[in-house]
Formats: sequence, structure tokens, C-alpha cells
Amino acid sequence: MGIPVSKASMRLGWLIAGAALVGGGTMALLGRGHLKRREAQHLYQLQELQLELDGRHNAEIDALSLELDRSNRGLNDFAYVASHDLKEPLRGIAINADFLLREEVSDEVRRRVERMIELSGRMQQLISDLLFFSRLGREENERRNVDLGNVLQGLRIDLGETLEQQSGEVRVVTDLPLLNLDVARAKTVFLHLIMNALIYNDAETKIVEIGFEQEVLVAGRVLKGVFFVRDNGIGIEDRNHDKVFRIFTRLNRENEYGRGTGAGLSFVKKVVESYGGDITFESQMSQGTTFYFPLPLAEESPETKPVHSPRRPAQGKALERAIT
Amino acid sequence: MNTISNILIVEDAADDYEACVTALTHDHRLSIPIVRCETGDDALNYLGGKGAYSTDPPDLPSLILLDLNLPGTDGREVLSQVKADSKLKMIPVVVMTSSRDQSDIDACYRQGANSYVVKPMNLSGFLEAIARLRDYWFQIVLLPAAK
Repeated sequence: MGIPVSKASMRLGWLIAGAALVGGGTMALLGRGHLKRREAQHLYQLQELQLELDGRHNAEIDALSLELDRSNRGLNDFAYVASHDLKEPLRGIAINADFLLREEVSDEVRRRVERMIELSGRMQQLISDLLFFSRLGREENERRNVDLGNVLQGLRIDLGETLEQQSGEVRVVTDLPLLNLDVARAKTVFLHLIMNALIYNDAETKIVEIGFEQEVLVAGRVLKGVFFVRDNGIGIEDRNHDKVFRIFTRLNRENEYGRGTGAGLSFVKKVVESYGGDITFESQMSQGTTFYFPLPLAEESPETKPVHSPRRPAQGKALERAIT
Repeated sequence: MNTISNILIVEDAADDYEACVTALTHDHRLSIPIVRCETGDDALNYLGGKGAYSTDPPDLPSLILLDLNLPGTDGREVLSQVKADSKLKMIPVVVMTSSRDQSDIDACYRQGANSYVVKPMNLSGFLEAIARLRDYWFQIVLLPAAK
């Protein structure tokens, strides 16, 4: 979006140059009538230049957006092809290693071959995640009105086994406004936030609270119309604040909290940003973390009706005033 | 009663083909001949009784296991040609691929694929998946009469 700005500043530049020309020292040498004519002439020339520049800029913008389009498509093809072509030999490696294990081998050989199989599985997961990440935000299915309650109910069913194993609970703690987006992306966001809340959590009962706030103060900033996902997990250290959203960044040792690839939160961030939003969080070690983020709401949604929230709608307003 | 002719596996990767064959035959419950085509063109020739197969057109397979990523004419093209052919379209096609991509899945079903299976990452996964596929296609469902 840098082009319109530079175009505007260019126009401003010409106007200033024009003003200098018109109001310049020539005035003393020329009669008033002559000056008027010169003024009109200059203004006319300015307008001509402006038109020419506009035309050039429009052509430039068209060319650039075409180029961007092409490069996006190229990137998409690249990620797709690279991922598939990378996967095939990997599966070949794993299958051959498996065939090897069907032979009589020593325990030491077995242990090493099994590790190779495990690592190729991991590599394949990384490639899948990379492909998914590269496609997120560039390919969108049709946007439609989405009842988040239904999405969450679906996720509860999908995650049934995990929730049971982890003694996890997903609670909706406020009314939820109707969304307007690609439902697959909504699922991506909440699935990975819930998984994140369950995995990085030592609590006996792992509680994930989901809701919506009209206004909330997070790290000194007032956020309006944001969803939140709150957990009672291990918390995120301040120094890792920026790292958590980086793809494949894991903040714990390999086997400490399961074997995720560390891509989940990067998916979430990418989706939120694809809708022009920003994700942020506040966290306390051993207490839990709350993620806040906006998502596109349906136009005539229940967002206008008061959101049932047990806490601080009034306080939020006061704080906002205090800040602005 | 339908007579089962053979299974056509369209697969260029030797490892995947070997895994498929091992999976289909390892418990000796399948005595159906397995035919392999390594490229999409080879598969289309086989199915159409063209090219190298024109002098002695083979029986049409009872089931096609189709890889999507093939050299030259790829699996998508094979699928669309099979499903556009009034005679061939009766043959169930099971797409087997490494792609989990929803757009690939949708595109294949749109073209008329009968199943879409993501290739398991390891041999035991292969054995299980293929054994189930085999039981499903040759024991549970009834297939059209072989021509």
C-alpha cells in the first residue's frame, strides 16, 4: 500500500513547487496582467503534469499489482510443489526403513532405524505445516455468517478424545457475536488456540475459556471488539513474547510438552492478520495466558446487543478515557 | 455374481508400489492379479487398449489405485479422462496421494473419484490402510460386472 502514499506526496511536492513558481520573485519584473497570464499558464502546466503523473502512476500500480498477483501465484505453486516433491522421497525413506525392520536386526540397529522413521515422520509434519501456512491467508473460501458456538461445538467433538485424555474443558463464558468469514479459518484459529491451551498446561483440569469483549484493556491498550481464549496453563515468559507466533518455534524441550511442530500459533496469527487484525496476549507464569484478537463480524449481528460479561464493561470505558 | 479381473495400480514411486503390493498380499487373502502402470499415459493406454496394448487389449481392472503426482500426464488428468469415458467411469477409482490439501480432495471428488486416501507415512500404516481398502472394495461392496 506504499504507492498511494508516495503518489500523494508527489502531488504535494508539485503543488509546493508550483506555489513557489507562482509566488516567486518574477512578480517585481512583470506587470499584473502579464503575471496573471503567467500564473494561469503555470497552473495549466501543473495540471497537465499532474494528469500525466497520475496516468503514469496508475499504469505503475496496475503493473505492480499484476506482478504481485503473479508472484503470489508463483509462491503458491512453489510451496505446493516443493512440499509434495519433498514428501515423496521422505515417505520412501520411512518405508524402506520399515522394510528393514521386518528383517532380523540387532536391538541397536532397530533403535536407530526407529529413530529414523520417527524423524522422517516429523519432517513430513513440518512440510505439511509449512504448506498449510503458505496457503493460509492467500486462499480463502467464501465468507459467510458463522455461528462461533457451532464451530466450537464441532471442535469439542473433534477434540473429544484429547479433551478427555488431558482432562480439558472448553467453556464459552460470554455471548458470542456472529462472525462473517471463511469457516475453515475460524476453525483453524480456535482449534490451535485450544490445542495450545491444553498442551502447555500442567493444571489438573485444563480449562479453556472463550468469549468476546466489547472493550478490554490489554498491556495498556484498549482493544475493542475482541475475542479471547484464556487458559490456566504454564504461561509465557515475557522474553518469549514475540517468539510464540514464529513458525516452528517451540519454547520447551523436545519431549516436555508433547511433540507439536510449533506451528499452531503462527497459523492463528496469520489468519487474524489476513482479516486485518492483530493478536496479542497477556500471561502470568503458572497462572495462564489470555489471547485477544478480532475477527470479522457479521453486519447485523448480536454484537450490537449487550454482551453478557461478568466483568468490567464500565471499568473498561473509564480506563479508556483515562488513556486517551 | 461379478467376476473380479485385476487391480490396476498407477504409481511411479517404486517404494510406494512395493508397499502397496506388500499390503495387498501380505496376509495371502488377495489372489487378484495386480497390474502396475508407472505413468499416466501408460495407464490411459492400458485402459483404452491403445499404444503398446492395442494388439492385445487387456481386461479392464475391477479397481484402480491412482497416485496423483505422476510424471507427464498426472493422476488428475487420468481421473478426469476415466470418469469422462462412458465405459471406464464405472470402475471405482481410489486416489492415493501424499496431499492432504482440501482443494485436491474436493477436486478429485468433483471429477468423480470414489475414494480419496492419504498415503500413510509408514509401512504399518500402509498395511492397515490397504488391507481395509481391499476388504471394503472386494468383500463389502458389490462391483459392476467386469467387461
